Amino acid sequence: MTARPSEGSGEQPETVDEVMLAVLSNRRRSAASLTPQQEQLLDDWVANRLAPDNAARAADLVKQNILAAERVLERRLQQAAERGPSVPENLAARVIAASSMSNAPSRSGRWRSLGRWRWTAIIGAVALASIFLLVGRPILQRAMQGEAPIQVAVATISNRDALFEPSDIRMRGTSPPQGQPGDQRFRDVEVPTSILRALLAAPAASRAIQPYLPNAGADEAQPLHIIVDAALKQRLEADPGRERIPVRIYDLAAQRNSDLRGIVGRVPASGKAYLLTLKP
Amino acid sequence: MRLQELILLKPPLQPSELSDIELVDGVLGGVPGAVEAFYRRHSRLIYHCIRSRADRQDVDDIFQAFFERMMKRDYRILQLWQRGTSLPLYLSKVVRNFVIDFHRSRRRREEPVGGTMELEPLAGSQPEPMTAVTHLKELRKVGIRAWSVLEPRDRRLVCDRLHRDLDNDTMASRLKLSAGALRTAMSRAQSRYLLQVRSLAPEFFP
Repeated sequence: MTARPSEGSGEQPETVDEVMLAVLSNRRRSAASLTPQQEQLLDDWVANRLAPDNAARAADLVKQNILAAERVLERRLQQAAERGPSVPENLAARVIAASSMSNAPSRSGRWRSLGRWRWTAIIGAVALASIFLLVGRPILQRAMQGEAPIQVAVATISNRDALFEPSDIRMRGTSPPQGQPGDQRFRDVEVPTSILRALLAAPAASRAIQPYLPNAGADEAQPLHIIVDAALKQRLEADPGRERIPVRIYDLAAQRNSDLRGIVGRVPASGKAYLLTLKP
Repeated sequence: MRLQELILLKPPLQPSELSDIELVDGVLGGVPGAVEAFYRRHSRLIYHCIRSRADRQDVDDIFQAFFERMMKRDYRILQLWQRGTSLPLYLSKVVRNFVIDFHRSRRRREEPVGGTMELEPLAGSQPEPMTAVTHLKELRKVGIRAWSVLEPRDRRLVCDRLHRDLDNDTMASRLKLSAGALRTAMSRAQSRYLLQVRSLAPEFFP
């Protein structure tokens, strides 16, 4: 296939399009950024506003520089588009209407894109969080406050003289002297044996003994050190069917019980310490 | 007055003042009015590119389908545009491919089952990043195809002028032509060459 017309066909060649010829002969030798003057020169050339010498300069630039060729090609494209017919109005209206319709949902699309399963998961998570807040909050608060540990030790007291109390003396024909509870350095109580057994078995889980302890209060944050007299333990083991047992409790932190600290061994300085022994 | 206050007091840019990069970022970011601004700036160019490559009765349908696909795919084609290169040239290539796809899909509907058309979806249609070099390479290929169908003498004249930079005297002596005959021969050869280029890349011609 050839494009050559036959001789004498009378074909008149078109005006030579120097701009396109320059772009087609670009050698891609340079990609230097264009100066504003060069850009103006190229734009004027495409718009056919240049004198022949400047047109030759512009053509040389386009042949050598990639960016110049690209700019000229872009201007050429835009020029061709401007010379062509514009978009029919009804077509333009249809496209713009479609674009505005597609724009609005795209903004809410983020919500829709969550999908049915994700919505279910979100609702489930909210429900679980509500249940946790209602039910678990007290538990959480308690856990956050923390319960102080209870330490229990069994001590064998060889010399029990220090445990002798004057109030224990009973004279025939006379009633025993009953001092005021505030005057005594101990507290005699009857404690359910189940509490004592639980205390000896799992001290960390049992705070049921706390109400029986003098000056212990309700402060669960304070560590408790309880020393159980081995004799009391033996009594518990000897009579498993017994429900309650009289127990004498000494507050080892009290000044007047300082003599007892020597017979039970080392007592921790922090927290409260008690001695649980038999009531004679 | 501090710089921040000056920035706050600066009025927002009009769509006509936005660069192509800002405009495309606005479209991709869902900025209100950005799609309309993009349409106003580039619709005529897109229409021209379609018109230059499609039959007249198909132009409006292709134009509408082009924008519908752009919207349907969340303007992905604009995401693929390499910033800093010419957006009009990029759009012209995108439109050209779209028109080719349009014609292919129409042929596919009309063709019986089988043939190499079925392999085309497997060939991968990911557009490669386009640069200024890419545009010029493609145009160069167009130029070579246009040159290859010329007569030998025209091919020689075009090659001597565009790629060898020979002057008229040298060319005239090589072809044993007078100066006037050479000018006429060269002018006709270039015109025929451009006619071929125009048939292969019609969007660059009014």
